[in-house]
Amino acid sequence: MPEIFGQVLSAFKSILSGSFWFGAFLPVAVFAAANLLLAAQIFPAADKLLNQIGAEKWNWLVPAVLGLVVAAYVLGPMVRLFRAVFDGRRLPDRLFTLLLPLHVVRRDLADSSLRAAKLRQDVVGEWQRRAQLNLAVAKVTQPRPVPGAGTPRIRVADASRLVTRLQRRVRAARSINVAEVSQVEAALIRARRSISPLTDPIVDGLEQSFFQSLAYLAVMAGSHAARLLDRKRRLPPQVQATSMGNVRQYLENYANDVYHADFDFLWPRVQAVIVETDAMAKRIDAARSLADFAVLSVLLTIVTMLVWLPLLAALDTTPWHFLIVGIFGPVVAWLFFHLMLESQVSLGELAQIATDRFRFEVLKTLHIKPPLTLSAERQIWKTLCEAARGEGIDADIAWTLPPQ
Amino acid sequence: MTSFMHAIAAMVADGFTPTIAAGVAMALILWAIAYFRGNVPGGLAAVYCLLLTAGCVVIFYRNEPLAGTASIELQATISRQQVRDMSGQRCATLMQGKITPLPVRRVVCPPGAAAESTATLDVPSDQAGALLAASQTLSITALAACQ
Repeated sequence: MPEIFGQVLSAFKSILSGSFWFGAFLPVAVFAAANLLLAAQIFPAADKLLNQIGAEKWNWLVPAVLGLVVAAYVLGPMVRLFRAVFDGRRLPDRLFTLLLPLHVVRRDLADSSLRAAKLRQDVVGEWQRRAQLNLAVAKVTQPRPVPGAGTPRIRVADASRLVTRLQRRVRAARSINVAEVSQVEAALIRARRSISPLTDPIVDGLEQSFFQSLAYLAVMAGSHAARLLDRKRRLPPQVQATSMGNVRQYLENYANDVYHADFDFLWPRVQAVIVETDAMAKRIDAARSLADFAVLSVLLTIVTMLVWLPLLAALDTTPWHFLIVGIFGPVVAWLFFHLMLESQVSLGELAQIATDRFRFEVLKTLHIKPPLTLSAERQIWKTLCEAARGEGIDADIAWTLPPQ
Repeated sequence: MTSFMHAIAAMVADGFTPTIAAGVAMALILWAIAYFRGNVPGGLAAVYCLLLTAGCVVIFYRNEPLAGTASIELQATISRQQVRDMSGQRCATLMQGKITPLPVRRVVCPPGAAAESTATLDVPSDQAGALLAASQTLSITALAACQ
């Protein structure tokens, strides 16, 4: 039996690619096993079947594997369709219209949060500049101590207390406002003006601590702004109805933004010119397998839940299996959904790199004279895309003679 | 106050009420979060929570002992592994097969891993005497079938 199984598997291995095994067969096999386990809980026949498989006395192993291969082979090409549903292109209009406002609001919130974070960054920068200027002026004030500036010991102790308090609050990530910073700054100025230049190092140390606190605030504000910018990047200006659609849009905009080429036009041609032995081809294949695996897994999780929740409610004697599927199903779907997003990002980034690297190969294959400048290149891609869309073109393209 | 506590205890004991109460409470919390945050997935989660509650209620309703049944406890000494292998459904199915033609409505097998264990059978009242009379041999046979 294992020999026959091995022969069948190696025969299929030579026909089907590695991406098929990982991207289509693996999710189908995993979910077939999960469904058999669920069936064994309520159907005695399925339980018997499960025991037979475990006992290695099962004659249907090869046909079952063949069935899974065929199912995966049929589902594999459908991944494009499922992806189009998840990214919103094939969603029903009503659902698209229902989901779109949610993402518009998300984009607006991301915009306003980013603006607020950048403003905070500017404000902290302004505090730093103002404090440096005012404290430098106080240091060069002559004569010192300034008459009426107060007792040096009290002033220095007061400044030290305020600087320590500010440091503590900054490290505890408390919200710091302009009044608090101005108070510390004023206390340091008063301390500086109350002492003689000979004792300046005492206040110098306090000033250094104050500037360190402000620098820490600036770093925090910068990191926060960078984080928000990274999040906002996944919400393109032409916001879509699903997160997957937004990710796709943001990744595919690259070809249009940089080269004025439609992604759908450029990407298949770029893939066609990458030779199989190139490391990039292997990377793209691996990324696409992972993306396919995630898309199919999301779909199969949803189908498993839709099938088994009503069945378990109607046939099971205890609620435990029903609750396990009901609670863990959405968790698993959520995990696979995020795997789908991340794998899509990974594939999209590889697509960007491949476009940058192989676009001249595409021009060469099309016998188009390589452009000398970016704007000339943009004109070529724009013309080609317009022609592919069936629009009238108003520019000409120079061909190179094919090699004799 | 005492009668109120009794009422609560009775509601908890029947299995339906705590399920419905927990499901509806969870759905309300999710709906409230969705409402105050303007979050559509939260609202969907609330609806899903209600559907899960409804599913549990259907399961409880289908498996509730019918009126006019009696519970009989059968005792047998079985190994820890045997007890661990028992699941309500599988045990119930097998036991019903073994003790046919007695019409057993429901069998509850203990989920723990005790060395000595008890299975409870719900049978129509008029059959209870006959089953009880046969319990000395039946219990061993029935529980052995649970392995």
